[in-house]
Amino acid sequence: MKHFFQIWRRFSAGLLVFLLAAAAIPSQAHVGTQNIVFEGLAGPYPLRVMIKPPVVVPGLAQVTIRRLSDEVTGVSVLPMRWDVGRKGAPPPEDAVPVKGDDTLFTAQLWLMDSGAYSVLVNAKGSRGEHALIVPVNSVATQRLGLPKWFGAMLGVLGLLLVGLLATIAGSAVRESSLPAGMLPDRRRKVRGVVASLVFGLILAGGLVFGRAWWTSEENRYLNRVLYKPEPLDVRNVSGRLLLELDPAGEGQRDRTPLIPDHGKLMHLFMVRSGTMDAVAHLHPVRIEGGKKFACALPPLPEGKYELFADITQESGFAQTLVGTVLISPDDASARYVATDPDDAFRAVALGDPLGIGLSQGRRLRRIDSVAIRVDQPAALRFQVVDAEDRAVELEPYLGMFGHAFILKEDSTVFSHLHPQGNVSMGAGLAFTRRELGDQAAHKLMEEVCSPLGADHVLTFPYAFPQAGIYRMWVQVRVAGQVETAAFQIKVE
Amino acid sequence: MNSEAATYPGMSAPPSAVVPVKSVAAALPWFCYAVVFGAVCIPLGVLWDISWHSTIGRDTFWTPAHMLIYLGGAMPGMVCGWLVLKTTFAGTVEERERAVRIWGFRGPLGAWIIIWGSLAMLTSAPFDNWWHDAYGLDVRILSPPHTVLALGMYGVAVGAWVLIASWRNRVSGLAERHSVWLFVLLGGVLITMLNIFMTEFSLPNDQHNGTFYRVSCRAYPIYLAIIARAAQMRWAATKAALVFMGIVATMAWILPLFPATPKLAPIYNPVTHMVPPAFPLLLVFPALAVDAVMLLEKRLRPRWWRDWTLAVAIGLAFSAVFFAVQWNFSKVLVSAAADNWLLIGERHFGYGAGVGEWRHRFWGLDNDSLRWGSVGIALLASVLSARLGLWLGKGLKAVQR
Repeated sequence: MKHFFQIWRRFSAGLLVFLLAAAAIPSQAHVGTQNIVFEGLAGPYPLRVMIKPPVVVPGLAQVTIRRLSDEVTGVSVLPMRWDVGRKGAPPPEDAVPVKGDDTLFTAQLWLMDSGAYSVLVNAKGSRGEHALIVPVNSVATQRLGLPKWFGAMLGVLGLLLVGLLATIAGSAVRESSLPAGMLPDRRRKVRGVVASLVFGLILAGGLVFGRAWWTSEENRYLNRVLYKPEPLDVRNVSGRLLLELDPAGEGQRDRTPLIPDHGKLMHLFMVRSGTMDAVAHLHPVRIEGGKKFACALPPLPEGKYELFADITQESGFAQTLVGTVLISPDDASARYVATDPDDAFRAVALGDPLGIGLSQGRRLRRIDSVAIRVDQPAALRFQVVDAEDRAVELEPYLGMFGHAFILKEDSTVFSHLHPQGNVSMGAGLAFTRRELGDQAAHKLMEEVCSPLGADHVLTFPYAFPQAGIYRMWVQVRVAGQVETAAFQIKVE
Repeated sequence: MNSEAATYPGMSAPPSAVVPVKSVAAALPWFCYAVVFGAVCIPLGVLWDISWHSTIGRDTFWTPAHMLIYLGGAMPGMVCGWLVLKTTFAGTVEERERAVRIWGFRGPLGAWIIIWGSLAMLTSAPFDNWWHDAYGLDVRILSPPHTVLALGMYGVAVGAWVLIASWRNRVSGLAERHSVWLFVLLGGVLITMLNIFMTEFSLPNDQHNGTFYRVSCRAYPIYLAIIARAAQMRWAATKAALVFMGIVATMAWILPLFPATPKLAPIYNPVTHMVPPAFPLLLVFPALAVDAVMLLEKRLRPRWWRDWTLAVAIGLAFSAVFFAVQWNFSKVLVSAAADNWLLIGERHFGYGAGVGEWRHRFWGLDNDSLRWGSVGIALLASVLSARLGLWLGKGLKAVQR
């Protein structure tokens, strides 16, 4: 607890804070977005849920739910912090149907603390009430600048308040104790001016303290509140990749142990900088306990690579850590032995409109190439076809029928996608097990790998957070071999 | 009402030559009651709002607690704005001569301070809104925009105090009696606002650490000394302390009668009724000591050392009684025995405060225990605070406009 007068000194006349003006500064979020799109089953009801967490905490999360079944008649939502769950949750909020679109429901939820949250989505319909859980990170990601007009308005109001108060002080000394009708003499007038000046000086001192207070609050926000991925130290030691999380121990304070996300503690994505023509999806293993991971470097073309490491904590807090590494020609080892059998890599060019060629004459193609707009959940659909254009059956890869990762051309947005959306499935399972029990968690795992339709179409629901050009890599397993294809996506 | 204006028509004189003449009045003008009503609304609204945030959590611009605060800020501001315009453009000679001039306008000093307070409250609104957008909703109660709001609230209450003091100083009869009581009432309101402002340092669990005593001894003697000197009523500080205790205790006993549940997560403490404030400080006892010391005022010769002597006596008396009473009473308040409707006990903890043994412990004893250094600072602070209060009280006794 802070000392009252220390605080008082700092804020007693913090009006100079009005005079601070800052340019709008774009946020560098959790690799561009914290928005969540999740497609899954609430009992028998298929739903697509999109959550836009607040950019500051406490703040309001925007939740939209699209029912993908006519049976659903109503939806309610409930925010749950990981450590208190439903016991520590308020009454659920009814989601309101959107006018003009009776398949869409919206609600707003207050997220009051930073950390791992989940939203319990309860659907009501002809087959009773059933729920699903969507994990979501609650973190501050925005640094809001002070618009010039607003700063100017506050400045004018602040000067008015300071000027008026100093004038009131002068008038109080000059004439407030004089009986009615008596005019102040010269001495009183001088004392009044002096009082105004002295009071003005005191207020000016207060303004200085106020400015210092605002600056310290801003610094506290930037250093302790604004979300930054934990630091990741990356080294290439003779073709072996060594990674250390938070090497200086300055990262998240309420960290909980890591849990596997579809069987792996870490999913590491590597993309060659600039050209984006070589990628890898690796699964480093933990070494020396604790925070160090390692894996063999696949024989990728030389160059600088951007690294995106997905990890999930027991609490359900999922992060993408970022780093870079240089690969030289010497690193390309003929004796490469994958650290994990699910590791995959490829030097891969963009697919043409017919789809990118895979091995044995197969092609992976995108279907339904409709226009994609910012923040609107889109279902990105893909299909593997053989040389005769017949749909090819896919095999499970990492517990599901496909993976994808997306990188914006300027590297400001990265997301790892599944057919269920861009949530960490490890977090989803952790929350589901805690709140709905083991059976529900088991059912979720089954659902993740439920067979595709007869046309073997693979769907990735996602909402792009910014307009621009994105590169998307889709990974599937066909005939025992992991295949990777790249697509360019324009978002308007 | 007769005016003293005729006594000093356009005359300029040194302060020492001024001998104010009181006029007989049957009642105070309506705007005096209006601004006092507004000032009383503010702490009531703030206590209600704190309870709302501790119980329900979620609020809107239009909660009744907010409405009460807006009423307390806006209504006196509008009344005083009208008063200044009327005095300037349509006032009688008597009214104009009874006003102070600021930027070409005329109005009572208290009205100007109230206008300033309302403007500050108004300014804090967009500032606070931006602050929420930039850093999150009320991450900390003590934030720059909340400080501007708090200064505005103080402005309204202090302005009402000055306005009432000016009437009390120049009228006699029933109006004077009303103004004296209103002055004491406003003293209690200001003590309540100060107490609310220092809530984070003043919970029963804080009342064995050094910060609580250092802060309290700086803050309370100034108000008690002002009231004791300027109210011109016997035992005025005691009565104002009773007003403060009455406001807080009444809210503490009434709020829990209303069922309410949290609407925000995480809920660590599933409350079922509106959360009350903690039991008020027993300020009536140190206030009694201050009033007792002030009985000596007329027996001392009005030399330069008189107020310093009084300040030392007030500071020592306040500190001794305050320490003795709060140190022991807080032992009762943090014990399980206080967990009842009367003493509130741990019932003031909101939905976000975890349940546990920590509620029945004194806090900050590891690094902020009460040591002789803290006692010395507290004693010195209470003497200086009392001296400042006596000086300001003297000013309030003299205000005429």
